[in-house]
Amino acid sequence: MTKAQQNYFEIFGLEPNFSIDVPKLSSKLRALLNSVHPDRFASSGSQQQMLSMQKTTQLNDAFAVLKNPVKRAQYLLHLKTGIDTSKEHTVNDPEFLMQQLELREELEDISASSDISQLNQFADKISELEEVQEQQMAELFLQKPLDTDELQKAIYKLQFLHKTLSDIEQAEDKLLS
Amino acid sequence: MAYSEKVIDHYENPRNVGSFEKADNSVGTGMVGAPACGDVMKLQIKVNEQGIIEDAKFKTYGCGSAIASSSLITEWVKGKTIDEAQSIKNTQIAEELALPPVKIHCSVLAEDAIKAAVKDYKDKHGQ
Repeated sequence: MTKAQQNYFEIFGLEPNFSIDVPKLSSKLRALLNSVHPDRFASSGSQQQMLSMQKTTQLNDAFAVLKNPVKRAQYLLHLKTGIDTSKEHTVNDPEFLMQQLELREELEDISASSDISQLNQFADKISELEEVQEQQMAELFLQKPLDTDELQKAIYKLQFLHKTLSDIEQAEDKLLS
Repeated sequence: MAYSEKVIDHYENPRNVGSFEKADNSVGTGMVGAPACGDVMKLQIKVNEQGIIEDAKFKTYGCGSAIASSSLITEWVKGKTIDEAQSIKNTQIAEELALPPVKIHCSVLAEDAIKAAVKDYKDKHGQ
């Protein structure tokens, strides 16, 4: 009997929830990677070696999705409801987008002033906003039945905050280089 | 990926960057975003009593193609009626800027932005 493909949560022995202890997941990944490492099968047949390589790839793929809050939320929503939020689409949410635009403007001003301490403060502010958003996401995923409209909104909000965070990182790199 | 010359031109010399007063009755504001790439686009039109767009401004945080698409569309809508502006298709923008397939969504965003701006203007005037 062939076993149905495990989902990313099952691979790590987890329940499909949004809340995840990433450091814990990371040590689990190391242990699992170690147990399937191709070197262990150096003397085994080529089929066994192939299997170990597939397993390694699968573990790395799963980890890449689960450690990233945006990808984890998208994966979980898809797993539970079949809704795909990864495709390009336009969001029409003036109030939220205006806030995002203002945050980007603020970042632009800070970058122009090359003030690293101000940039760090700004990074803290965005990280806090993201944490609040992640908290809300975790709660939404625990609701029964799932409010798919709210979940999709929460996902795109997290995506925009995430983008601002990566812009901050770029600005930091520029200032420090 | 190489940008076309037109994209680079609009990116380096964007036309009509800026803002109008949102509360102004003659102004329509469109705010749209693309979550997958995190782009945010604000597009505003200033409309006269004959329903002609006299001026347009934009502010976009995004890639070169998104900036070029919004810059181009602000140029195009000037002098057009709001209904004409609303009928601009993203394919026209994509063609003019020679956008590659992976950047088509940037032109879609610009189309959605102008539609949202016209809708905002119409809502303000009970149309």
